[in-house]
Amino acid sequence: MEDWLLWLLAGIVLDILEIFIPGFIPACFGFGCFAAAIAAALDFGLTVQIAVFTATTFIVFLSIRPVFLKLLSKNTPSVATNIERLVGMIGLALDDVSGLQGLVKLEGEVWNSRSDDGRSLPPGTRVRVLRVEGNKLIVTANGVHQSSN
Amino acid sequence: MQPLHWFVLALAVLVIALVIRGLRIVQQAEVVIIERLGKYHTTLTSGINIIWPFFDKPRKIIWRFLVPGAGGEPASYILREMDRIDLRETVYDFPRQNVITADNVLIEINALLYFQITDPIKAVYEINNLPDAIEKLTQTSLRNIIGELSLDQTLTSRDTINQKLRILLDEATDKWGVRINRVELQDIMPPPDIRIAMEKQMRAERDRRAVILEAEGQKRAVILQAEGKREAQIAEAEGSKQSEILRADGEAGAIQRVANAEAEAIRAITKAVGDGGADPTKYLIALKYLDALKEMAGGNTNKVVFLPFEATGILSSLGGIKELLQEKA
Repeated sequence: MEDWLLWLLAGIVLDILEIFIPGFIPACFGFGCFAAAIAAALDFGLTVQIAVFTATTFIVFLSIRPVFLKLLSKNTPSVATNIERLVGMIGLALDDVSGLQGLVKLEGEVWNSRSDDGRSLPPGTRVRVLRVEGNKLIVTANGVHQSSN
Repeated sequence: MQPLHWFVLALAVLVIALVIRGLRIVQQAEVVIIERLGKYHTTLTSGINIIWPFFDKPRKIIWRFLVPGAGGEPASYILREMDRIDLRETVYDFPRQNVITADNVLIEINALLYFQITDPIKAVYEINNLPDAIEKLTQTSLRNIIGELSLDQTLTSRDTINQKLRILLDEATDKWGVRINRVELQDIMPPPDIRIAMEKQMRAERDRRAVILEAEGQKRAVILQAEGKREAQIAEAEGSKQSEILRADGEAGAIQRVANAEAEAIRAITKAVGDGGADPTKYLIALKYLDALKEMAGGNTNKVVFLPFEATGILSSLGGIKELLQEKA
C-alpha cells in the first residue's frame, strides 16, 4: 500500500477516535497524519514524513488553545457556576457586616461575610458580592440603601 | 541517514507524549490545580488548557465516592485520588453514630452533610484527606451540640441543631476553602426501652384525652337534659296556670249569671207572692226544702226515705206550708 494512503487512513481513524475520546488528543495526531500524507504524496522519504507529522502535531498542540479561545469561545457562552456564579450577585446583610465578620443572606442561604473596605454595613443593606475567600463572601454596599422590607 | 531517522522517530514519540499529557480539557464546575516543579503554578478552569508535562503536574485531591452495595448490602465509600476538583455541592451520608444527650440518653443519629468547595487551592493545600476531615469534624461537632440538649429537645429542634452546627462548621472549614451548606439529621433513634416508654406515654396521653372528651360529652348531655326538663315543666305549669285562670273566669261568669237569673227569679216570685200578701221568704224556703227532699229521695235505686232529723225544722216548715195554704185559702 502507498505511504500516503496509510497516513490518510491513520488520520481518519484518529479523527473517528476523537469522537469517542474527547480531549482533542487523537485529533492532534490526526492533523499530523494528514500533513504526513501530503509529504508522502510528494514522494519525500519516511524520515521527512515522520518529521512533518511530528512538527504538525506539535504546532497543532501549541495553537489549539488560542484557536479555540478565538474561534470557539465566540459561539460558546461562558456560564459561571458554583462560586463564580455568586460574584456580582446581590445579597441582604442580616447583621452588621464589618471588615471582621457579618452574615449575608444570599439565595436563601446564610453566608459569613466581610466588607471589602472594612466599613460597617448595617443590617438590611443590599450588598454585592465581590469575591469569595475561603467560605466568606467579600461584599460591598450596593449603593441603594434598603429599608427593612 | 540512519541516525537522523532514529532521531526524528524519538522526537515523534516525545511530541506524542507531550500532546497526550499536555492537552487538558477541564469540564464546567471542575478545576485542576497545576504545580510547576512542585510549586503551585495555576488553576485550570473549564475549557481547553495546555500544560508542559515535563514541569507541570496536576495536584491530586482525595475524594470520596459512594458505591452502591451489591445484593442488599449497605452502600459503602471508596476514597480515590482525583486531579480534577469538583466544585459542585456534594452530599455525604455519614454512618450512624452514638451520641449522648444532656439527660444521659444514648441515641443513634444519622447525619447528612451538603458541602461545596469554595476555594480549590485551600482545599488542596490546607487540608489532607478532606472527606475524612469533614466527616470527623461534623461528627464531633454534632456530639458537642447534642450533648447540650435533652432528648426531647433533640427530637423537636432539628432546625436549631442544623443552624448551630452550620455556624460551628463554617468557622472551622473556612481555612479549608470548604463551605458546609446544610447539615441534616436523617434519623434520631432513641434506644428501644426509651422508645417503648415514649410509646406508652403517647398512648396514656391519648387515653387521657379520650376520657376527658367522653366526660365532657356526658356533662354536656346531662346539662342539656336538665335544661330541657326545666323548660318543659315551666311550659306545662304555665299552660295549666292559663287554663285554670280561664276556667275560673268561666266559672265566675257562670256563677254570676246563675246568681243574676236567680235574683231575677226571686224578684219575680217576691213580687208575685208579695202581691198575694204572704211572706215571700217563707215561700222560698219551703220551695227549696221540697226541692232538696225531692233530690234526696230521687233516683230509681234509692229506696231510703230521708226525713229531716230536726223536728222543729220540719214543724216550722210545715207551719210555713200551712200558713201558705191558709193564706191561699
